[in-house]
Amino acid sequence: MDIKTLKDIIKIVENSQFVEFTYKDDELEITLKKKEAFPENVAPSDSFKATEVVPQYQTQSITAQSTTQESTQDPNLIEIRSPMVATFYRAPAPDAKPYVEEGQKVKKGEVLCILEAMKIMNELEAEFDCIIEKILVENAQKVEFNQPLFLVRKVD
Amino acid sequence: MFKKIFIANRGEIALRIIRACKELGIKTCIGYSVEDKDSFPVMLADEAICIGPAQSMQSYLNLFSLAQAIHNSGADAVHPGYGFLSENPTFVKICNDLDVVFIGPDEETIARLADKSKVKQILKENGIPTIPGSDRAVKNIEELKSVANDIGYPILLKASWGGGGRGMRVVRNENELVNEFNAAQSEAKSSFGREDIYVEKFIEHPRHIEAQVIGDKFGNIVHVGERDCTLQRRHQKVLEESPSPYLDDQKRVEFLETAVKAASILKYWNAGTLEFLFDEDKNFYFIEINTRIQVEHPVSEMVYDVDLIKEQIMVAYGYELSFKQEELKPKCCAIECRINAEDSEKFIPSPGKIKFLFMPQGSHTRVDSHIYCGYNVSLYYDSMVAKLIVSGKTREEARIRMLNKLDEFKIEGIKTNIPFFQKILTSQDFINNTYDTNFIDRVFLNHHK
Repeated sequence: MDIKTLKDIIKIVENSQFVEFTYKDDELEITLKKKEAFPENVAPSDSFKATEVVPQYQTQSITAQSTTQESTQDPNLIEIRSPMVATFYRAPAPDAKPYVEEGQKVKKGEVLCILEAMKIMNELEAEFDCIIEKILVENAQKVEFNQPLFLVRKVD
Repeated sequence: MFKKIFIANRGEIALRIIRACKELGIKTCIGYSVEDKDSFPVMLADEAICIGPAQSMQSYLNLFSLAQAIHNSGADAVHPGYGFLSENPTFVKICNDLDVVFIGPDEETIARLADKSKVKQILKENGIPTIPGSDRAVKNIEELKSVANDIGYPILLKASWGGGGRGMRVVRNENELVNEFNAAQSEAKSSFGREDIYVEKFIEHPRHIEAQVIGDKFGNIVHVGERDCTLQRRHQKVLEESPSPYLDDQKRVEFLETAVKAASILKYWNAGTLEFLFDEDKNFYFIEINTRIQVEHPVSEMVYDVDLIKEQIMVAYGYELSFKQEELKPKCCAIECRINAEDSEKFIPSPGKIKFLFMPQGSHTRVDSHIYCGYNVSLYYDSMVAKLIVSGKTREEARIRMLNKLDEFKIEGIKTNIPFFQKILTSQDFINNTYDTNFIDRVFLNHHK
């Protein structure tokens, strides 16, 4: 990766709402992390670059930490909710195998789905070991913030 | 006409926009935060997309989230309401990139008019009276001293990129200058992101009178009368009325024609408001232009019998204005009170669940409000819960009617500033029209700058 692309990526992440970003290819892996809280007075007119600068398949991994909710009946049944407004994809590409199927065991850190927003492909990762009980949305469905995506059973 | 409009706002203005869309046969999609899930506009809109958590920065001000939501909704236009992103050129650009029409002036106009000191300079060069002051932001304390001596004390320090009455400081003599300048700069930086300060002559007993204008893409621009917004608490508007009791017919005509001329010079179109200050000799000076629909627009709608939101949508689509200047005639006097969820004595916000609600009704009465019995008034957003607007044949009839309607307005579960309005509307200064912008601070709060 050349230095200009790296600079661009840093700037995009800086200006985005994401707190953590990882890039990986054959040659390079970088992780960017920033302070949890947003700076209090970020003026809304800070530049929004996603549609212009980001190449088609840039991926970032995101977590749904703040949006998991427990089902009322079973404390081990947890709803994983979308952390953003996006389009939900079950697989990394149109003709690829889906990341997960119902009944599948998933380990912490494994990718569950893609949430695409403004041409950025965000990989949603599992925060804990679990079994996929139910997939609540369809491939290519438009989802909103906090929308339940998966019903999973936590595995100890 | 547009098929679907995305509403990037909340509360009473979101409801107002939905109403206009329904009358035009346009579908609505609202972007809402988790906190507003049970709000009335979300219930009433055809579609709703949750855009983020309660905090405005992560929802109503979240460009990224709104961009995706607008895209997902399939809307062909966006109405930004007031506040939030309504005057944000980046948001307008995003709408353009998404091939969605922003209902308001275009990106270039908003960006051009965002620098308040520059706007004043352009108007001054074109013969529009502006408050004496620096032509642009002052570079340093030396320049500030020089300007202050030129225009004479007292002076007012204002943030170039500010608004909403925040970050303004009065300086009465040169001794105070350095401290006030430093304080003003840091306030400006923390409130608006930029520390640029410009200077104006401070008028001691000002009246704040603004002109509502609206224009189309064909160069037609008209005024829809004036609104007297002199009653303010710490520079926040509290009550508005039209026509202004401060102006005689001749002065009114002169003022409104000047306002339209100013809007034309600025090549303004869609809805906007030009704010002026009047001194004790009834000289008026341009302050700023607000490039959006304003909270108090119902006052003008009642007096002139127009629908400004529908008009905004239609001119944004590309229609000509549906009225000519000569067709617009004031039909009555109107007063608006901004009912806030706050303690009337201490003016602190009073969020909470509304346990009982009876809203005023009857003729010549309009209520713009999103609240209902059982609704939870949030602490995350501004405290205004309703706008109560009444009209009358005369100002006195409107004043009495407003007092009656305030008596009818019953809310339990939250405190409101209704008692405060009852005091204002029965005060001699209001009845005799002898108040200025400091009236409330001076009389009710014992604060006087």
